[in-house]
Amino acid sequence: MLGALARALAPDAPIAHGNGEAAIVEDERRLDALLGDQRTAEHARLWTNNRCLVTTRRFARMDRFAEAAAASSARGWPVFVRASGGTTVVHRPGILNFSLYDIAPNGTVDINTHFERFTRRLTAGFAAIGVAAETGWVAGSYCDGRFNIVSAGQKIAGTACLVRKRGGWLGVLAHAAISIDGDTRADLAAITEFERALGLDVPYAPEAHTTLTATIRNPH
Amino acid sequence: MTDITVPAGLWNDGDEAAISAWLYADGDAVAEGAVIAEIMVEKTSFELTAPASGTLHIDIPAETAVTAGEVVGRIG
Repeated sequence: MLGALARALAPDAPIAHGNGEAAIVEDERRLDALLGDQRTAEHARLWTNNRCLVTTRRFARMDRFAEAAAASSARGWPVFVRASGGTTVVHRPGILNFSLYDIAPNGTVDINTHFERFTRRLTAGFAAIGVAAETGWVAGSYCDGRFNIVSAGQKIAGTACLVRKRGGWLGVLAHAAISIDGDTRADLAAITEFERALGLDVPYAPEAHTTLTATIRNPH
Repeated sequence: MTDITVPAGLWNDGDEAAISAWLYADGDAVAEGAVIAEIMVEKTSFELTAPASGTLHIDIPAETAVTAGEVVGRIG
């Protein structure tokens, strides 16, 4: 199932297993390398990661960040920071990350169009393995947004983008975290504890999330 | 003084944009090309880079809505 989805999303990209922060930083390294070439390009990366929380630069600048991150790490969920948008998410071996890098001349990128093209590629990938999915908000999900990938009302993947400018070129990193299998309630508990320690209290709902495995076992 | 301006043409006019974080403090020295702030539009982070080297003056604080073309700070 994982292999079939990977082939549908990016047939030429092998699935690499990363190691915490280094795997996250690799996304920016690749974007920078492609931007350095100063020419139109597209590149895909499929990867998993060790168990960790990945939060935003906005959260990382909150007063209680260091304390909250240390406490989360002590619970077995080290916290790393990414440059793309949204809020805190989970990485772990049961979550497939799909990163798509696009380089285009400045002035030719509309982020809504770009996001829609990215999510169409995701829903087509799910369709190729027999899972009907669409985009939309899911109340109670972590890192909620209108470009979530949703199956039967539950969030199965989250998406976010980073736009970086270098000279006359824009680099767009679109990223999806796809829940393949595993305990989404434990994911949500880890995020909730971390964000509460930051001083946030977002009312998440465990039933807002599902995995690809659960969706295939219990089709709606 | 060199203005720090919110880029135009990257998102729809009706979309809500806000400075989600300044990555340097008011009065910090910054180098031209350094990422100094991020603007969040839904779940897309747009990086703002320093248009010149010098001292950063923040006019619009983090967590504030902004519009394309708006001046949010200066470098002097």
